[in-house]
Amino acid sequence: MAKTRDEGTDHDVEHLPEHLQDLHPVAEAIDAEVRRGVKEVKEALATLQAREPLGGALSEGVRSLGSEVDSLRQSVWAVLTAQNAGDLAGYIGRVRIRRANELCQDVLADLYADTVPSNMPGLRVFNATLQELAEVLEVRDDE
Amino acid sequence: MSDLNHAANELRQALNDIEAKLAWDDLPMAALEEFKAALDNVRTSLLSLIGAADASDYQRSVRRLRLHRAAQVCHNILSSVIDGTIGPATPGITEFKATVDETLSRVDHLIGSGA
Repeated sequence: MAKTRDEGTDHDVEHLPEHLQDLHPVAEAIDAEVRRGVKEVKEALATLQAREPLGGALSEGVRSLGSEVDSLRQSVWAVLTAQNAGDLAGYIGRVRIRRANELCQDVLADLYADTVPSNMPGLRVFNATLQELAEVLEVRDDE
Repeated sequence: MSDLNHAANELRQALNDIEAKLAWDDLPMAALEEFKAALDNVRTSLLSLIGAADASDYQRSVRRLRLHRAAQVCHNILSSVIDGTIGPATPGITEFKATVDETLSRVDHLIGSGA
């Protein structure tokens, strides 16, 4: 039977390369958060399916949920593919760029539809991040 | 089967894939962080759908979440560009740069107009 992370021991840590031993507690903590997250999402799914739908808002909700599921699947696929190819960082970089582009396109569609008020919480932070990103991408493009 | 049930079943399957993966392999931390970020987004979407009082309340909430996620992922990419893990050779970067420029222009216009 396969061994889970929960069954891991300090003995396992001793077999990790030295530079990874320091990261082991961090990885364990993130692992525990992922497990807790999976459990919470399953519970939320059960609650959602048991309640009355929100009429006209449902299609947008399903589209949003479908997009998040795609993102989750891409994360799983990133590991399966990149572990074999030995280029996890590169693959995750490509997945992040694609995801960021999709998210910005969604926000752009909201902006063109005039459904974003100028006082929406987070808009100015988003603007500052975009400004900085545009400047950095411009500089790197010139190098 | 309704669209919602279809999406819910897809999500359950994705979660089962993740749990199976966690059970038999020693995942790199970068992969765990990706899982965690993706899971957080799914959880927020679900809780937003569950907690919405009505359709318009939900749509406002979806737009805020979308903006928040876009800001978050752009911030992560900014860090990756600065540390060199994402660069001019990364596939999709040219298209993304064009999207950033166009979005920035629209947001600047919106803030400037005070609409």
